[in-house]
Amino acid sequence: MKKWFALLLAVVLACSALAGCGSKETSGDDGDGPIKIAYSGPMTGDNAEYGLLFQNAVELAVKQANDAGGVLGREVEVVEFDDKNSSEEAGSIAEKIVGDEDIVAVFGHFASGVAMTAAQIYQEAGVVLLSASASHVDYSSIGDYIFRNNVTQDVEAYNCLQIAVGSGVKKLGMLKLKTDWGESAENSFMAALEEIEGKSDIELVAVEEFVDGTTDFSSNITKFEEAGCDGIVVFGMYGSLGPFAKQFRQFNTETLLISVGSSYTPELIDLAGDAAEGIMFPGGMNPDSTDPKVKEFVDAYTEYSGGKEPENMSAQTYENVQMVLQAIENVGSADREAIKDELYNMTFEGVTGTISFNEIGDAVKTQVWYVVKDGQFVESEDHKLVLWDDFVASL
Amino acid sequence: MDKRDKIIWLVLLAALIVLPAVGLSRYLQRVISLIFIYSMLGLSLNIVTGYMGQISLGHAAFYAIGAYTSGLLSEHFGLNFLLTCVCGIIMAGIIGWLFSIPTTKLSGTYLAIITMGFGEIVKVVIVNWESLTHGTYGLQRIAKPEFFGFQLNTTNNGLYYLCLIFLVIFVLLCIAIERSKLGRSLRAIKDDPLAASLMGVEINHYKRMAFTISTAMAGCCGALYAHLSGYVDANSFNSDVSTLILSIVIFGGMGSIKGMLLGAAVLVSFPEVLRFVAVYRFVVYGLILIVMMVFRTDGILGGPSKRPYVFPRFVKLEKGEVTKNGTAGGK
Repeated sequence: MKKWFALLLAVVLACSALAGCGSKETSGDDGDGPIKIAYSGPMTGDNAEYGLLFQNAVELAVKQANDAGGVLGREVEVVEFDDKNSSEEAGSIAEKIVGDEDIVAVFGHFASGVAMTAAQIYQEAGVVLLSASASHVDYSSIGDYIFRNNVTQDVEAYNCLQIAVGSGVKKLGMLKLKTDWGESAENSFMAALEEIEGKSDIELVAVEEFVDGTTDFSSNITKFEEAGCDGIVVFGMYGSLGPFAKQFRQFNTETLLISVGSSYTPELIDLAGDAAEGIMFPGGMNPDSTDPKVKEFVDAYTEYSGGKEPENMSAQTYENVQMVLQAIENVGSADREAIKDELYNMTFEGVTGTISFNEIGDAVKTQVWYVVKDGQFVESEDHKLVLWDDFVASL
Repeated sequence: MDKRDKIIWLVLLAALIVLPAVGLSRYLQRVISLIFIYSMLGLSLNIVTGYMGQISLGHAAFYAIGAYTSGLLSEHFGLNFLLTCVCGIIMAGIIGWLFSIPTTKLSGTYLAIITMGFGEIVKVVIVNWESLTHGTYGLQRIAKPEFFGFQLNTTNNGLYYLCLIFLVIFVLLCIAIERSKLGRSLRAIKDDPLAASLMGVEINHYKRMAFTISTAMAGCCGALYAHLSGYVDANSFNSDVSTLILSIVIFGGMGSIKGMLLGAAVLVSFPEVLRFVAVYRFVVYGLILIVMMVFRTDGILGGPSKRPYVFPRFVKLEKGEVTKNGTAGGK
């Protein structure tokens, strides 16, 4: 009987505790209370470094908005969730967020697969999801409430190829992370290669893949060496690119390494040291830029995070919050649907550039050609990235 | 089971039935449905671990097989949920049976390692067999179960009730197994395999049977989960899930049906309840588990079975030969 009592008690406790965080029936959309936004990202687990960087960005943007008197005279409040970068967790979190009528927009979900699972729930409920990191081609097409302020994998892959061709690479190798993100980066890259076939003498001679968490790349490096690559495109995060570059440079100091925007972060230099020299990227915001707007943001972020410099996706997260708050200001209401409609209409001057959204909710923006020089990311002086169509036409 | 137990079971069931009518948010519905599914997974592993005393660290593999079988059949052929679910059960059962043939001679840590390896193999196959499983992309937008043109979803509480019905079936099935010859044989094997075989229990036969039933049940849970969440990928079935299922069995109390329900309720809801401690969530969660296990090594509702041995009807005992209850209950 005691056991039964314990069982009942535990169930009741669990239910009531959960009920406590359940939904409220009232809708606070146009009330006087605070405007609530949600942030969800990995704060523990494999990709926690990104989740925490984004968290700082969201909190900073909210703090600045509140210091300036709030939005529509109302305070902005952020609710934070840890999704461990897992689809199952993200699904539960999404249900929890859409159940809270006060939350007007969601920022985050790090990986594309995780964001796409949650996106279906946000779309169904009609809550704006603005991701700064999802890069899967199909992400934005899930619905009209699903936005991203990130350069798509297509554009990124095309720009990597543009850098390779522009740098005179002839025999190209490719190293990709074996996830849905890596797969679709490869597909985009292949499509790009097909488009310039015959117009350029570049040739793909080796394709290698690795799983998340790999630290020893010696077998991949051997294959690249055998194929005689003079350029390698790495589709991976900085946590993988760093060790790869370090190991690769022990064998070969000539071959050009090209990677994508998600590796474009100051941590890469810490990880790879001298081996990072000469790695090229298509990227967004330049943290060392002399642009006063960017400088102001970098300083504020570094101060807020206790010494951490922002990388590009944090900057995009910061912009995302500002954009939604701006949209609320523009329409004079924190209505979920009104925010969505305004996002399609507005053009925003952010720290990574001028941003507008196309008809499926992808940000339209150009990229900058970066190279690592003396331990710093610098804008390439010799080259400039152009829109892909212009590049193909110029060949 | 005495009368008071029966009443409590019925009260609990009635409470769960009326709960959605009182008004449950979608989030709560999802969490409670997950508790139901993990209770069922606990019940299925309980047959191997609780009754038979064998450790399996790869239960998520069979959960995955059920989920993918059901999800893929629904995607390619648009079959009804019940049909795809049955296929998931059969598929997981067959693979579980094949797996049990070479492993019946193993026990303890050896079986634990082999099952853990199998769990990883299944995960790697899912990631790499792209033409069938879509690799890391996972199965997207799996159809919600539909009966006679009526779609079960979160809005009409259908998924919640579907999971509840399956849970009730699982509980009844487990009670039947516990009382059957199979259940008694398994408990005998757990206590002393040598003594059991001397008493005429075909150890290998019963081990295979238990493993097959257990994996088939896990396959059923997989099918249910796939249609509940609408999305599955290899990460939904990683070793964390196997560990969680085993934790439910050990934490709830090996061999106890009530224990599985309680274990799942606690272990699934705790991480959700603990969200307020943010990044320290899993530290607190681990601490709670350690403290609980230190103070109740048998799990919350575990401990030696007190089920009396019921003699077959044709066995007539002379007065004074045995006391009221026999002694053959075992653990």
